[in-house]
Amino acid sequence: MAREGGALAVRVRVAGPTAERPRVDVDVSFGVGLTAVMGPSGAGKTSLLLAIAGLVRPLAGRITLGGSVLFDGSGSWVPPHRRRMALVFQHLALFPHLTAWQNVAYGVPRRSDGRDRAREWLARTRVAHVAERLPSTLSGGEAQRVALARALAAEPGALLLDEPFSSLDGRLRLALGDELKDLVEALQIPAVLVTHHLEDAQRLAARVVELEAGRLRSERPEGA
Amino acid sequence: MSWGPLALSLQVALAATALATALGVVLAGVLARARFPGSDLLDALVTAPLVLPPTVLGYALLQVVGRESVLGRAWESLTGSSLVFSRSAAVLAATVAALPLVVRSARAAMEAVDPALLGAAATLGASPPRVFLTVTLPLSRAGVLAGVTLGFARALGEFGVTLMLAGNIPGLTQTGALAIYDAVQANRDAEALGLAAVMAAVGVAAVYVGTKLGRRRVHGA
Repeated sequence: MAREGGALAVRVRVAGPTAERPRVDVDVSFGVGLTAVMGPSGAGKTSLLLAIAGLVRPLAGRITLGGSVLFDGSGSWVPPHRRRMALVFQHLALFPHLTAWQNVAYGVPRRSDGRDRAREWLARTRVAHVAERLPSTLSGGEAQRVALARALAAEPGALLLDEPFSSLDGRLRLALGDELKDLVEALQIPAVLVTHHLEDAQRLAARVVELEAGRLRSERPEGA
Repeated sequence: MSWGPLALSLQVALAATALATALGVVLAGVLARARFPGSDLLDALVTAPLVLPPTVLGYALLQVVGRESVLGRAWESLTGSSLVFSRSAAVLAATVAALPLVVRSARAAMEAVDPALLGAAATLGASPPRVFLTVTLPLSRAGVLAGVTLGFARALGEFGVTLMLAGNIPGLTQTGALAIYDAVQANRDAEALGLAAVMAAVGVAAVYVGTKLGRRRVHGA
């Protein structure tokens, strides 16, 4: 599937409780492949993802994907539905009134292809068998895979993942992490993985950046 | 007992419910999500019919759509007849009475929809109207239906505003509620009792159904 590749460059300041202490104030670039964002609770990891997706409006800065400007503090603003940023929420946010395949078909750019693309992506994420089921009947791992299929079926220019494996344990987390890594490598898009697990971050990501109190603390290369 | 006023009540209430639903769902959607200058004032205006004396509301509407008003004249030049003291006026009165019940119930249900679902829909490429139609509305369906049912019951029972705006003209604007008043005034007790019994039964049934719907959860939610 052809996609215009391109790095995601993010320089943003997001409002916090006080003007002196913004929730996020970073200048960071995410290349093609998986980058992990780590940091303690309240460090601004989720706020950073929401700002990139366009669900929170930064106070200032600039966000670009490949050649296109998504946000510029001087006035340019692309609304979330035109950003092609797929966001996998921590609690997945699957539509409870739609079946698994309808969830995945929701974001398929050509709606007439929705059903076919949904089946393909459910197969690629190994949950083809749950296509007709409602999210409330899925196990944690199945729901996780459906959410990933839904995000990727939208043919995003970048993938944002907010602690996608937080509700899964041990082996399943490892397996899903590896599958995610393979998919992102095949698609050649930037993917930002917010996680608490240093182990996940180091195993899956080409790069790990750390946020603390809204600011970039350090960067370490893989395996450091 | 003549069934005319009851049939008219039903006809007026159904038309008013349709109008209040169309307008109320959009208003609820706007009020549930958007904070904008004047949104609290809009909320107060929509809710006011619940608390204002019907005479005050009727008087205000007479000023807005009366024969001397801009809207009243526009209506008259379009339709060739005056809006006040017509069946359309009865529908307008019932619509205004039903609207706050539709809006309040629909809005509460829409506000209960998880914002993450709306964010997910947006990041999947859905424009705000599509998000509203495919996520917000289906997930708040029970609350919207409850409001619509209660609004219907309220429209059916409308009395004061109808009297002020549409009058009490037998065969034209005399609804069941107004016919009961006339029957009592004229000591036609049997007729009053019959009309009252039917209207009470329909009204209680509508409120019962509306309350049931309001409690129901959307499957899977």
